[in-house]
Order: sequence, then C-alpha cells, then structure tokens
Amino acid sequence: MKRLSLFIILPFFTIAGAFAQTGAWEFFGSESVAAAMTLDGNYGTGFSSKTSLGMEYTPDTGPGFRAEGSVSWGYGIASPEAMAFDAGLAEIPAVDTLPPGFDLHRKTALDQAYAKFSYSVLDAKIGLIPVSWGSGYVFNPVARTTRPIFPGSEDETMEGRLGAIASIAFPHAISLEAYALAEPRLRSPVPSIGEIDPGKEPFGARLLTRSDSIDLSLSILRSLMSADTEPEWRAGMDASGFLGAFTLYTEIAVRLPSKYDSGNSRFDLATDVDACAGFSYLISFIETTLRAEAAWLGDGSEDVAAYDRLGIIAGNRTTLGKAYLFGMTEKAVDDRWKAGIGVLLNIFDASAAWIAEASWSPMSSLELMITATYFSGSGSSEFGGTMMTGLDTVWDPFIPAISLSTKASF
Amino acid sequence: MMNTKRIDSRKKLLCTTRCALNVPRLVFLAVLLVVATAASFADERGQAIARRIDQLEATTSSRMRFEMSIHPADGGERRVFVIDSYERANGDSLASFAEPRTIRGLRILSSGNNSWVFFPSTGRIRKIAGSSRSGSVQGVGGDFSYEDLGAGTWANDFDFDLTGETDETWVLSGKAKNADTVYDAILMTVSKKLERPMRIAFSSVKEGGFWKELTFSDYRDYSGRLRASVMEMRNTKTGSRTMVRLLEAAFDIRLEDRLFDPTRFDK
Repeated sequence: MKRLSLFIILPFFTIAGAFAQTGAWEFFGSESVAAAMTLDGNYGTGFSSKTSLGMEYTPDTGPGFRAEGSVSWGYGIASPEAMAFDAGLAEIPAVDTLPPGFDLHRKTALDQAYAKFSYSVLDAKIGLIPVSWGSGYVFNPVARTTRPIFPGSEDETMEGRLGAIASIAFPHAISLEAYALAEPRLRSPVPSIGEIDPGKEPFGARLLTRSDSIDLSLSILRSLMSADTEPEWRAGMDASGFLGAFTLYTEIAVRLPSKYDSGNSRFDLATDVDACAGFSYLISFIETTLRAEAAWLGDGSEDVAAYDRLGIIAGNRTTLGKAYLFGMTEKAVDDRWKAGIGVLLNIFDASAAWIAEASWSPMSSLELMITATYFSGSGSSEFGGTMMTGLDTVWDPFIPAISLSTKASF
Repeated sequence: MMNTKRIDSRKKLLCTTRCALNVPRLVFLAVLLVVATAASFADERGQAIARRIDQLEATTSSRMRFEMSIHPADGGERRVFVIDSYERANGDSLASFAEPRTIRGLRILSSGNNSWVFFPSTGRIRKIAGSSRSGSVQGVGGDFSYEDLGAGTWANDFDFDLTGETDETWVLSGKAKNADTVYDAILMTVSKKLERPMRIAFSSVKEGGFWKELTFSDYRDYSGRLRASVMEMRNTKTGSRTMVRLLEAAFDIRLEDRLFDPTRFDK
C-alpha cells in the first residue's frame, strides 16, 4: 500500500506542469457578520465575522485551478477559545507569550487549493483537495478525511486535505475513483519527521455508478485520525434512489480487521458499523421539503455514564451517542424567504438539539438570517448535560442561543 | 384470384349494409365519418406540426448562455441569473450557473427522468427525484422548474391534437405521454410563418389546471438557427414571471461526453 500511495501522487505533479494554459480567472467570495446571545439566563453575547475569498481558473484545455480560503473573527461567546477559557478547559495565555501578530480572535484558513485536469477518461485533482464522498444528508459514515463535523453543521466550503484524487471513467456512467492524502483527519500545527508514514496515510478507492434507477458506490477506506494514532480500514457503501416521490439514501462503513487490532478484537456489529439511512420528500404544491435520517454510530455509547466528552474537546468526535434520529422541514418562498426547523434526537438518552432558521434575501446575493438553537435533555444526557472541569468551572458545549446574521456574496 | 374474391366479399358486405339502413341513418353515418376523418386528420396534423417544430429545433448539440431574470409577484426586486447551458441530441443537458455569486458554479445535469445537482464548494452531488423536478430550481427559484431547464422533444413528450387554426397560427393541444412528467397537458400556439411556438400554456391536475404560460418573442438567427431571444414564463396563479434572454448560442458543435456523464460532470 505504501507504493500505491506514492505511485498515485507522484505522476500527477509531473503531469500538471506539462499542459499549456489558456483561459480566464474568476474571483468570488462572501462577507458575513453575526451577533449572538445565549438564552441560558446569563445572556452572554458574541460577535463573529467571516470573509471568504475564492478563485477559479477554467481553461478550454489544460489544467484548471480552484482555491477557497477565509479569515474569520470571533468575540465573546462566538469565540471557541473564549468559551474554552471560561469553562476551564485551557489556561488563558499571557499576551506577552504569544508570537507577534498572533491573535486568538482570528483564524485564517485555506480550505481548498488544487489543480484539476482531465485527460481522456482520467480526471484528477492535486493539492488541497476536498473529498466529498457519501450520500447522507447529516451523517456521512464514508467521509473520513477531515475532522469530525457535528451533524448538519457542514460549512459551505468543504475543508480539503493535501493529496491527490483521480478517477477513471468507464462506459455506462461507471467510474473508479481513488485518493491518497498526506494529512490525517486532525491536523497538528507542529511538524515532525515521523508524521508521514506511507503505510498509515489516508487512502480510499470506490467504484461508482450513477444510473436512472440508483446511484451506488462501493468503497474501501483507510482513515487516520491523527498522526500519532493507528489507521483504520473500513469497507463502505452508499446508495441513493427513488421510491415514488421519495428520494431515499443509505450509507454504511464497516470497520475491517487489521494488524493494528488487539488480539481479542472481534467484529462486533454494535461497535464496528457506522450507518445512516434517510429520505427527502418535496411537497411540490407548497414547495416544502421534508427530511428524515436515522444513524447508528459504532463508536458512540448507549450509556450516559460512558460518554466520551473529552473526545469532543480533543476533536476526535462531535457526538456521544450511538443512535440518532434527525428530522427537518424547510420551506422557501420565491427564494427570498426561507424558513426551516430541524431536530437531532439522541435515541438512547432522549436528549435533543433543535434549530430553527428563517432568512430573507431582499436582493440577489444578500441574505439576512435569524437562527435559534435549543437543547433539551436530562442533566446527564448528551445535549442537556455538562462536564465539571474544576471546582467551580463547568463546560457546557450546548447552550441555547439566538443569532442574527447577514451575508453578502460577491 | 384472391384479390377478386376479397373485393367481391366487400361489395357483398356493402350491399347488405345499405339494404339494412334507411336514408337518415345514412346521412348521420356520413357526417360521422367526415367528422371522424377530420378529427383523425387533425390529430395527425397536430402531431406532424409538433414533429416539424422538433425537427427545426433539433440540433446535434448546443451551447448557450442566457440570462434569467425573476420578477416576484409582489413587485420585489428582480433577481438575475446567468446560466451556461449545454445540450445534445439525445436530450441530455447540463446547466451551469455563472451568476449570482451565491450559487456560482452550481451545475444541474439532466438525463432521461433523472437530474443531479453539483454544489461546487462542498463538492457534493445530489440526485433529484423525478417528482422533485416540478419544483423550482434550488437556489434559483423563478417560474422554471428543473424539467423546464432540461431538454426534450414536444412530439415525444406529448400527444398533440390540432384544436384551432387562424391565418397566422395553429393551436395544438398536447397530452403528456408519460405520467411522470410535470405537466399533464399543454396548449401550444404556433406561428405558421416561423413554424415555431409563440405561446405555451402548461397544465397539471395537481395545480388545478393551467397555471404557467410561456411566451416566445424576438426570434433571431443564431449561427444559422432561428431561436427566440426572449422567453417569458408567467405563473398565472401567483402573478410572478421569469424572463429569459438568450445572450449567446452555438449549435452543432462538439461537446465532450464527460459534460453529460453523471460520474464526471462535476470534474
């Protein structure tokens, strides 16, 4: 597998430089600001902004290019760092110990930056590439290249990872696609000689078909949570199709035995399978969409006492439970007004995360939005519970809040 | 010998029939025959006109850039979309949005009764159910549905009758051949001079009858092909309207297969 990873990546860098370039650049971006207030009785307030910029080069022949990046700012409750300091999860650093120009309010991110090209039946991307596999709407068991994302909170721009992805097209809308990445799901800001091991780096391959009746892909995945952990192999499948007016989909990733397993490690359906299935339905005469999804997450827990809340802090996970139900409905009017409400229910502890959104777009590319989040559940449950971090500090990752935001795209 | 025998037997049958009928019945049957023949002829003419339009509009491929402006019913600010469209003779089509910036790069591939939508920033592709194709295009809205943006031929999609005629126009009434299509019936007014549709009214049982109306105007020559440079879809129930202006068009050009391949159109 070491050789395979290298063989996939290296030729792309060579080919990329060999094409002539003609075409035009396009630039695009957005600016958004948001003000938020908690509804937990403390009425904490926050402000955030995000400036996103992107560029794309699409020539008639030869390699194209695409990049998207952003600078975001967070103050008050909109700053994850401030919330972590307040909860006692981290010590507040002395200002004079920070590097010059460093500001914890600010985050810069280059989410995607890749060259892309097609040659005969081959399509390829190299660089900081997004790998968007899976059919699920809020859960994606086969998407194992980036940090875990809280269900439904996927950003507009998918975070990329350094590497290459290539696909070969066959007749009848069948393709074989594979990626090899140089980065684990959780990035480390500190480089080290041993952080690259071709035998552990993320790798995936899938056979994909999109036909009239069904879209289906079968995949094999090797994921790596962080450089100092062992890789995990999974077999994946995802499919989507129709039943009457319903769009149905399912996605499953089954952990495979590997040499990294301990001696007594046996396949266990309850812990080695991540799966989701759902549907969407458009009530056409009122232009209202209904969605529902059920998910089983093998590494979650049925027992509230066994919840791995530290895993959320470490970034290894975003949910604690084993089984979830998601439901939402959204309605658009003339694409100027939109409103929706959704709920994510932890089936075993009966706690729930609720979100309601309404937006108004008074003109093209300008959107005003109000969002409210609410969490229900017992004191030990996932969405209702907290974690003591000290004698007088508590970490509560799910605080009800309301926010007003504006976004302009250009 | 065989033919002679058949003719003889027909004569015999006719004679028997005549003998059995009285004169008023004969007149009635004659009128019925004329009406039935005329109706049948009208049916054939209706379908023939539709086929003629399809024939004149048929191209092996096309690449078009058009501007779509949506005028809300309540007089709100109009929204403008710029779309690059690629089509080929088998009906497959690809629409790629250049404006507005919020959905720049979004692509919709239509093939048969299926559509796939590609979202460039997330890289995700979503399959759209046939029934959802009646809905307005995601992130775009307006009065055009996914099905409207997809390709197709009139004569293949509808059974047409010629139900009206003036010196300048034909009126065709079409019934959907496929129950899965968005519109159950259409009423098409065709210019005799141009042999092109001037107005189409769309009906569906779900919407309670005719509810959308598409008008074509300002026909122009685009690289040897006559096309309406302005099309307007009006929702007669809500009062909203969407206008499409054809900015550029090229026909019978070579388009790469990958544009219409569901596994490659996002690449």
